[in-house]
Amino acid sequence: MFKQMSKPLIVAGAISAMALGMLVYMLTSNSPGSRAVAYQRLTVLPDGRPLPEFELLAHTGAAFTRENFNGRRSILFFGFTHCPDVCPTTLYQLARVQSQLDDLPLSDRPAIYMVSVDPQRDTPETMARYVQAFDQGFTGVTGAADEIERVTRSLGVAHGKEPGEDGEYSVLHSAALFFLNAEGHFVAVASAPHDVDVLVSDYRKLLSDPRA
Amino acid sequence: MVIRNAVWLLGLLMAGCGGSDIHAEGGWLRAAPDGRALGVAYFDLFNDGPETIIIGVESEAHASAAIHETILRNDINHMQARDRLSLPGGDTLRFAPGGLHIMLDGARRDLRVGDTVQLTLLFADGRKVPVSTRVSRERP
Repeated sequence: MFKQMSKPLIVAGAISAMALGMLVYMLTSNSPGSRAVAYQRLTVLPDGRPLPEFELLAHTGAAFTRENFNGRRSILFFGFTHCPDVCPTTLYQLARVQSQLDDLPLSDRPAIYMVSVDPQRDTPETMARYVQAFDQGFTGVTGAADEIERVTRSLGVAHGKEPGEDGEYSVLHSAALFFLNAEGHFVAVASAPHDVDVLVSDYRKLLSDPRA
Repeated sequence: MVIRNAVWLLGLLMAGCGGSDIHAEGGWLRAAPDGRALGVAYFDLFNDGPETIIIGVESEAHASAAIHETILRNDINHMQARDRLSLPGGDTLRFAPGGLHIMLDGARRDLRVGDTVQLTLLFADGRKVPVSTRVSRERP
């Protein structure tokens, strides 16, 4: 085929292909957030989303509202203290993530929260004993079911009760981790299963991502 | 007829012997982090013999023990009781975080890191296989 083409045509074709390539490069490199940050497990939202207003309780018993997320990045995990397998596994992983990020300035280190999706059993006292067993710096959050629902609905956190034997129940819940920026806006989500090294590496990339 | 009886008798004898063709390794147990009665145990279960069925589990340190499986479906964790669990011949079943696990409740004593807890797996053919687990915060 090339044999039948004249030389000038090939040169013109090559030049226009280069021009197109440069145009694409210029267009994409000028759009915000396009500096292709390659995450392993994290999905970053195109625009951060503020959370709705809610009134919950921290494990200390103090009021906890969306303003508590201001000033520092946060990682949120939704679980319950009667969860034997996934919740302790994830919280131990988050404790390791936290310690692997301790080279960062305090303002860049994430504050880590476990929000209960089982407020019937998870009182602030229960949450205090539970989360602090993993890391003294973790914060447990619980409160009225409908207030928790405001948060879970805004982040798309699926959860619900699964009836068991003898009136007991288990709670099914999203295993994802939710990332908020220092303005308290929802900016990214990491789907399960989690890996400590991957979370640490993705979190470091998030710090320099203009979208987050 | 004689052969069939002999095979049957042999099977019965093997069942009574405790079944050395099934054994567990790497057992560890995570007690509830806040000191409550809840716990979870993990191990690898090897079967060098033919397929068999696990029908239950007991713990010498807990009032109740059951085989559960965490199933991640559409990013949501579901917990499912496994009342009968097939252990295929020549295969290994891994009980590990985020998958198959032994759910323990009603701890009869304070469990501290480094303690040993004996579990017993119960099989449909009457065999009982011991599983030794060590209390640990994370996979040793």
